[in-house]
Amino acid sequence: MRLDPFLTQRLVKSLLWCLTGLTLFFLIFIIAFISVKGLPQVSFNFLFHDIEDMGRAGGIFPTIVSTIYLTMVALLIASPLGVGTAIYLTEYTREGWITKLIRFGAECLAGVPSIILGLFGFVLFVIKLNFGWSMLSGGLSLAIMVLPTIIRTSEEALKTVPQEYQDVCFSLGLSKWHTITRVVLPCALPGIMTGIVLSIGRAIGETAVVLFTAGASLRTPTSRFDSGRSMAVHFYILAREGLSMPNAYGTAAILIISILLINITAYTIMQRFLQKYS
Amino acid sequence: MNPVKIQVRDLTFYYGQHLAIDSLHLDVRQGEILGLMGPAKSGKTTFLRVLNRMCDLIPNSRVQGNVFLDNKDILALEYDVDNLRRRVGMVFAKPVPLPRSIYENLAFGPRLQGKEINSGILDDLVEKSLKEAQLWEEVKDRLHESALKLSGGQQQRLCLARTLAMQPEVILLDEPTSGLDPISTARIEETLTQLKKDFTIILVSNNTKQIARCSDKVAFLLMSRLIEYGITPEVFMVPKNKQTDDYISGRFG
Amino acid sequence: MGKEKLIEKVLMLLAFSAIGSLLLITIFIFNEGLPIIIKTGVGNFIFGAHWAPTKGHYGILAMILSSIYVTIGAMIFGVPLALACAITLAEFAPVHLTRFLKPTIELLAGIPSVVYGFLGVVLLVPLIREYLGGPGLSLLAAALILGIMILPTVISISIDAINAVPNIYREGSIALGATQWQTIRKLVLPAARSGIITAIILGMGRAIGETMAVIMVAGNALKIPTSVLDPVRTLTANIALELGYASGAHREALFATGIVLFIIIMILNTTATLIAGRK
Repeated sequence: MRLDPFLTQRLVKSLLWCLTGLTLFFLIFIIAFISVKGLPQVSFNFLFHDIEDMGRAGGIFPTIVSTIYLTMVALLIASPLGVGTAIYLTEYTREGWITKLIRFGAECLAGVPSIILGLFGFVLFVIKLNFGWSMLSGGLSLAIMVLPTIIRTSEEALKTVPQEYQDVCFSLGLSKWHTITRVVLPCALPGIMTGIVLSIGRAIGETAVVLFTAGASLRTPTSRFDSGRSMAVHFYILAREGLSMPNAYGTAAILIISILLINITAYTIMQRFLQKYS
Repeated sequence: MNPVKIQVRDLTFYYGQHLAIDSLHLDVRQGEILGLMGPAKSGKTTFLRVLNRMCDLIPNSRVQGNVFLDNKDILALEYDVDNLRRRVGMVFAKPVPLPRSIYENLAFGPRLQGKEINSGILDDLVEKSLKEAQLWEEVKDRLHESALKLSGGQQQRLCLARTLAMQPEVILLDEPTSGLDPISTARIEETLTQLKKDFTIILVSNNTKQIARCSDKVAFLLMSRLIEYGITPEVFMVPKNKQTDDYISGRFG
Repeated sequence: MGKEKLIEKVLMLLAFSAIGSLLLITIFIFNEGLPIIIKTGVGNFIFGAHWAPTKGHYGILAMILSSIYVTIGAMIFGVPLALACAITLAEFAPVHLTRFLKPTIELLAGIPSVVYGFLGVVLLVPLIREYLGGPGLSLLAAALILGIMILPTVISISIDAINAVPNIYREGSIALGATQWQTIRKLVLPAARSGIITAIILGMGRAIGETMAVIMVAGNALKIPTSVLDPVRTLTANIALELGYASGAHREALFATGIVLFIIIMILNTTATLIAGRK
């Protein structure tokens, strides 16, 4: 018996909308649940006090500092490398085996699971280079993690800058490097910033990489050789050891809200950038 | 008679295997406008780009022969290309204002010459260039507004002013009025006629009537070869070559 | 001129940082882990069912199987849901709704894995324990959580793939009297096939490589699972759980586990790239 195609379509559409609603429900529920249970926890004290009693009491200030420190180190290393790579790919080479190789490397790197990066960071930075569990080891490992993202978004941003701008600059006697730094990069900057901002979001939420390279010290790090626990690691430990549910929820809430705000910022920058060029 | 500014001798240019210019030989004198005409793909734009070495940017290209600017061969390896491009300015077919204010568009080039220019000198230069390009009256009250707000014709005059701000000796124009309305076109042609006494101008155009109106000498290129070269009224009224005659009469184009 | 050449060389050096890092990672992981694989014997390592590193037994079969089962489970749960969502948003939903929802979904991809794991422990695990039995911390829990985790990735890439199909196909089909669903089923989806497969493979890669969420809900027992309610330990969990206190040969064995994981993921990702490239 062949069903009338319009009936089939009605059925299918209903099914699909239900499933879509279910999907969206899951995703929104996660944010809502954490926010509802965690935001009440967040107070001035919570944000600025030290960790007490292994996390059962007190605030999460050291973790906030660690998170910011790690992210800064990661960005300081990954941004020049990533943007430099993108500039090289778009401005200094044509499509050939070199560009394919570089892109292949970046894409594979993007697929490396975080635990492997943690292993790598552990053996190279913590042990072999003797940095120990530290902001430096963690930052370097995070830099490798976000490098592909920065390369990809920077490359796309640079490609949108019209070739004519460069022709004009050359015809005025500008050198290639000056053309890039004074005209092309400023034009591509919002797109590049988007990539960097997105990387911040990823770095903040990362646990496996950081746990095995930066350690889990409860103290506030003051130098790059200090160990420290990021918010995500702190949350993980609180949850696994069952040390304090309220604090866990609070940490998670801050984590999620920060990431959401960061991603929304990145998205807004990107939208304005696209508007300017289309 | 004016001194010779540019001498082109046996200029040959290849894009990969494709021959774009074949043994080109001509002179351009100071203070005159040389019109370059010919159908598409005859080598006109390529020739312009050789004159300011923008051809270097084309991958897989080869150039042979000599081009002498003030008796020095600009195709020589050791010739300072950045300096060449400041002496030889170019206006492109599509107006390309930089995403900056009108003032900044004009100041951009001079600032980057590396000289310490105080704002007084810069202001004067901007005003002079805009007056030469016949754009000053229209924009003098909004110099700090974005250049992207100007109309097509105004943008093109801005590009011309931007080139003039570099105080070049030679100005190359690649179909500068191709996208513009007749009034803007007329204004630019008028500007060129005013400018020629101080500069050497080479004008490429698909529009034979424009070449007839504006240029003092004309060169007709067809499929990479120079077919005819001479004083404009002579070439147009008594062309020596049948192909020239056919092109001018519109039998092909 | 010399300065320009120098700048170009410096940029070229920077450009090799990505592939350089990849090489370093490969070298170091293999360097640390390969000896123990060779000593134990490749067959014994991969197919040995007994993992007792303190006693010198290094067989990771249980973990390979667990990783595979968990991933398959995640796919079974996540892919249909993701495709349904992608089709609805790309084809049926009004444009402004999709323009709002797609970036929202991508935003949700930013939720850290530990949060997913946490919610799994707090909400899902008790449910499983209550209604289905077993300890709750199980293969099922891991599969479900991972399935949800990969939704944003698979949805987003699938929407792109479906949107990339030119409208001309759709218009031609409708003009012949087909319904929208028929057009989708017979024309659009097959045309978007390689993009959707890429999305699924990338989702798979994410699922296999996921560590923190799995540790929190999977139970981490060292046996080959026989039912979905059994607690399991994946390759990733194995590394993360023991790295903190392992030393000597034990630590090498964890790197060896990493090698196996790395190879599996590289194969998946290369396949995805090849399929995407063939488009």
